[in-house]
Amino acid sequence: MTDRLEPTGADETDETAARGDGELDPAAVEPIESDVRVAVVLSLGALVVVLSLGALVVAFTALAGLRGTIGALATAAVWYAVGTPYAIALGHVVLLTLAPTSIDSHFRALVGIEAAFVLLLLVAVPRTASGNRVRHAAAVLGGIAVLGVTAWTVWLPLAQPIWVAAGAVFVVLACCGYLLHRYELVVVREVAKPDATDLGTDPGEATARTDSQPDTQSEQ
Amino acid sequence: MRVTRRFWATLALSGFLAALAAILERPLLLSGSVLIGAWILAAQYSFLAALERTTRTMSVTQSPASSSVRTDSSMAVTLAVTLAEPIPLHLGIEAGLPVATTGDSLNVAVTPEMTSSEQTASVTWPVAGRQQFSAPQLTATDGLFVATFPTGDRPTVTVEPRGPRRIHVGEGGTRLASAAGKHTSEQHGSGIELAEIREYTPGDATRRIDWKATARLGTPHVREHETDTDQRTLLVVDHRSSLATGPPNETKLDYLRNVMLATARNAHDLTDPIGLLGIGDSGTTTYLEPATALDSYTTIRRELLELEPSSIDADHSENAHISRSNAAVMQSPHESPTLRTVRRSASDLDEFETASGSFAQTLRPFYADQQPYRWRIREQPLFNSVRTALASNSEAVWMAVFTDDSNPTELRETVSLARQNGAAVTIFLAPTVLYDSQAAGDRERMRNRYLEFETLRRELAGMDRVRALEVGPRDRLSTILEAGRDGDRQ
Repeated sequence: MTDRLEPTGADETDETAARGDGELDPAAVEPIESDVRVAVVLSLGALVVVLSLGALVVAFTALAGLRGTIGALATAAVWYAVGTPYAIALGHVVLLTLAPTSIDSHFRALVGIEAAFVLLLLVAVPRTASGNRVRHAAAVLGGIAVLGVTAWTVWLPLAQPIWVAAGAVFVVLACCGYLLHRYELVVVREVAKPDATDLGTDPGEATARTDSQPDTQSEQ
Repeated sequence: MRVTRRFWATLALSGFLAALAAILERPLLLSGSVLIGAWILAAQYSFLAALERTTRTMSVTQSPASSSVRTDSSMAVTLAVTLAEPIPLHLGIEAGLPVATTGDSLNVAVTPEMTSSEQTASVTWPVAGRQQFSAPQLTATDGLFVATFPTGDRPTVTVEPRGPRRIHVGEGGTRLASAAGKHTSEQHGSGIELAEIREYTPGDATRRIDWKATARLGTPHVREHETDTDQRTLLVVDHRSSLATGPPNETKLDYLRNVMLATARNAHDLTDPIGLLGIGDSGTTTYLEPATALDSYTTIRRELLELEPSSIDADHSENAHISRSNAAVMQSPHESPTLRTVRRSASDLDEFETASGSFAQTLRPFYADQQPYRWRIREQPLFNSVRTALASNSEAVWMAVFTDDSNPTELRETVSLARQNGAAVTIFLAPTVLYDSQAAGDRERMRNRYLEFETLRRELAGMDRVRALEVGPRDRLSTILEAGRDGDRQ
């Protein structure tokens, strides 16, 4: 069913991003999920996403009754309005207010809520993953596994404070992001590299020009 | 790869949850931070996957309308992007126009549902040379990440300076097969090139006997060699105001200048003595005796490059200045006329016309008989300058005359005069019809004017030891010849 979650086409922000003079303004490009969120409302094929949101509502209700339902609906509204990361942030802040200090008694409900969030991550794919959903889902699960294992390992087996675990999560996140950046430099740009034979008849000139290409990219 | 503000906002959300988890010591919040971090990593991976797909399926071309252009001309350049399939990224492509161009920037934007886009802009090329485009800069973004890198082809445009480009030198529309070459003197003597082996005659030096030929043929034979001679070359360059006809930098003089330079270079390569006679509207402007010294060629080349069509007013003022400066020069009546004396005579005539003294009134009737000669000085500077130059050159000379067809009578007289003085003459003629932009629309009229010119050229070429060649833009001549062929068919 998720295959039917295709982008709906250019929205108003797309036209803003591509100005009349042909210049591209990255800041004007709408967050990558907006069209998918619209698709959820407009297309019955978005049932999986609705189901994941429904699971979220059920899990929250199971945890805290009516207050949980209200919190889950607020989370779903934020997901529709702003996007998945904001919904996750709000959902966890709501959880903070709903869940008691000890989580042992509500362990199942909390696991269900987290599972609903993961499901939401898997099904509400960005537009860039529209033709690549399985790999995107694998990347999501891989990211959760790497970061989650890092946090868990630092916190429990190593018995470190939570702030150390949080710092470790961000260090691993930065390393993974850098590795993907290197992948872009080495693999993706190699495909797009202009043909060296087009640089001129003088091989020396060609080399000089290739070397003189300014690297306009900043390191992430 | 760069990131946008939205990326930082998302990362801040994750950081906020992590900080809250640390402060409140609630690991539940850290799980939210992990989920957002995983979302960021997955989004980055999907962006890269989409970017890789884009670079594989995308074709970016920069297409100048032509591979060559004249300086300061404008030319349309098209930037086109084609995708094999729609891609989920916003793309912006900026053309890599050469630095030495002016005009609007050329950008193309491609939104996710598009598969092709193109934009055309007019670009001006003020600098001559071989201008190569830079690779177009592709900027791709999904709202969180931005990647910019060069991709696509890099065409080259040759920007040619304004001036004659395709020069025709020939006869009757037929190109000259070889415009320059060694000249044969048809004289035998000491030299290197073998001319012939002939039978010995009494009086031949015995050292000239070819013993091998003698042994082979049974009777004494001697070798004859081509005599090495120098051909004294005089470039007669007409740069009067009529030579200014034509578009800017493509005038008659500009086309003739190329032939002059080639002729001078050829003479220099053959170590022939070369001289220059420049003729403006009021007479000789430059005269350099034929000489073989290297600096004489350099001087002539510089003079030719700096040569401009003269204006009548400027020449008159220059002449007045020369006359005054030479007022003190005295010449014996037995000497042959020179440029200075001729000019001084003209100046004297002017003075007698305006003077009111009794001496002037007495001499005026005598000078009145000189009116035809005086007219010739004023109206036929080419003829007069050539006569003066030939008078000072007793040796045989090859005269290359560069002029146009605006004054056929003077040209005929000049060539006849040169022939009488034993000079071989080659005339490089610029037909006015090939340079007159006003006549370009009327092909029939152009054809008739060219036929008139061709008649004159053939008449000149019919003289003994005279060769007449036309010099002009090849494309214009082709148009006229084509018009002629069409006319013949009809």
